[in-house]
Amino acid sequence: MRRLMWPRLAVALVLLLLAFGAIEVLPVTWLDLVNTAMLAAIAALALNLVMGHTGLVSIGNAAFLAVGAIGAVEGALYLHQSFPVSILIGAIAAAIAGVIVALPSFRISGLYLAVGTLSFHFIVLYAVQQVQTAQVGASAYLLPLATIGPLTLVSLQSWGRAILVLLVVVFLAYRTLLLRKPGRVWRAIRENPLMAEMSGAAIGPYKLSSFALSSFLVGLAGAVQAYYLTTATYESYTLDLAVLYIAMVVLGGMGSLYGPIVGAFLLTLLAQSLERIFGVLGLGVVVSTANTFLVRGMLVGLILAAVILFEPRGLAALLSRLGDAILARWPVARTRVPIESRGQPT
Amino acid sequence: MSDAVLEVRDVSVSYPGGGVALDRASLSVAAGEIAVVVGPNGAGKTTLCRAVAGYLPGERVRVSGSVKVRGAELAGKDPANIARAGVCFIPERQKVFATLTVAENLELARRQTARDPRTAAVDDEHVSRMFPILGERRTQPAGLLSGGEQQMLALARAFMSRPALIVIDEPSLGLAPVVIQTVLGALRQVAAELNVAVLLADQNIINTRELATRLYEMRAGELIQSQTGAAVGDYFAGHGAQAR
Repeated sequence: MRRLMWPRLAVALVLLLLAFGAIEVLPVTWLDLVNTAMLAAIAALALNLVMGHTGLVSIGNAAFLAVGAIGAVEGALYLHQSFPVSILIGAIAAAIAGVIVALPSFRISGLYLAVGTLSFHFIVLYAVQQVQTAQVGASAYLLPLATIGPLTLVSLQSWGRAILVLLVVVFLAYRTLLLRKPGRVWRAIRENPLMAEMSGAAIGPYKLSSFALSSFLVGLAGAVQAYYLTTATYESYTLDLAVLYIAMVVLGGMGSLYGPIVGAFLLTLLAQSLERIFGVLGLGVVVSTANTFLVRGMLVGLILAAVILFEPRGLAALLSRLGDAILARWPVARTRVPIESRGQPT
Repeated sequence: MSDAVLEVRDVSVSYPGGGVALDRASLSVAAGEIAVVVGPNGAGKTTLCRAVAGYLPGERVRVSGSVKVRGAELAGKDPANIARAGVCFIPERQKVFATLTVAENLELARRQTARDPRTAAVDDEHVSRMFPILGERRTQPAGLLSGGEQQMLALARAFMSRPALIVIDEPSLGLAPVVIQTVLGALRQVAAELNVAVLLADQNIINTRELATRLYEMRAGELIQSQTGAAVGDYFAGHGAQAR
């Protein structure tokens, strides 16, 4: 098994170098898309934590993004805190909201919990709207420049580097947790809550920690996104957005490690470049700009249905099979080992 | 009786609507003993197992009586606490985590009873010697194992968790006769090595008669007979022959 670590590590390092390189050379419009996708990837990974690994369905994702963003706004504009402190305030606010949402999961699960998180979405959005109207009236919040020590994030390139570093840090922490005891217990809870309990695991605290950590990361993504866009308003956090995030996780592969990143990139690129695609295809006349969001919703629905029908384990499973096929021909590694190996290396 | 690992006193369980599944059942099992509860379908064997393990979901199920393990009262505690008190329950179905790998299933059983890494390594080796098939399939999801192999994994998990009491419900359910012998042999081995008390419920008298050191018969929610030692053999000589 040890021998097989290095090709994977090498692939990861090459991908990382390519990503850093891409940030420097990509045209501005594309770079903006990539930055947006990387932020979405952080939130999608976080959603996968509760949905894919712990098996708790949450439709509250857009609301957690909103809490993160508003937390950062309050931190920056009203508590006069720096960028790092403000995004931390946003993330912690979201984590606290996550704990509150998770409490019912002690008693309910499945569809009932999903409906619970749905009502959470509307409650939060209403609250945020009230606060925003009281503070800035009908306009959106405007955020100051993001400054970390001597570094000010202004250019898209500097943002790209910063977000990529954040994504890598989040992914490594998430991966470490999932491959160790918390990940095992979370998946045991998803699999069979009663038997997980009979293994001696206190499943309440584990559900809570899964929700808290997930909403912390979603809140973090929301906070950074608000700074990135330099503006935040309750209107951006729609139920559509929450569904889009669920689609990212399902498309990428529920319960996989890196799947949500792939899902986040594909769906962000698709969602943001639909108009351009229509233009190229000459469909711009047929589908007016006002209707692109409907078409987007339809496409997301179609993709979801297709994934559920043809590969319920998502793109991660497809890629993993592709990886197996390549590894099988790899000169040094003759044993077949799943890319998505979940066991600890022995 | 003070050396009994499991002591059940007057445990009654009734389901909403007035159905009494278990009527003042009392039994005790000492370390190293394998108590077998036999009885037809619906007699209350599974309810007895679940009452001991704290696995009676639903608020409207009424449970009364006392369940003591190594002297500690466990009635009314939640399954996690009961598990930590040394009770390992292997249910009839869904006895392993199907999408987790074999290694992860084992790891989950071990980590809950915090022990040091040296014994962990010894345990790993021991388990792969006792259950070679599990060693071969460490990285596979447990759901891909056959029924017998899943039962083996459940027993290996039991071994890992170092319980004082193993409660096992219908271990022979859905298994081929030759596999049943292997599984029960493994159970006997685990029980002997850990000097653990075993409470086993099974419809099938023939499969379990060589295993039993203590026998209870259950009918319509009541434990009506108990035999120990040589009497178990006599009982089977009378009933087993007919069953055959």
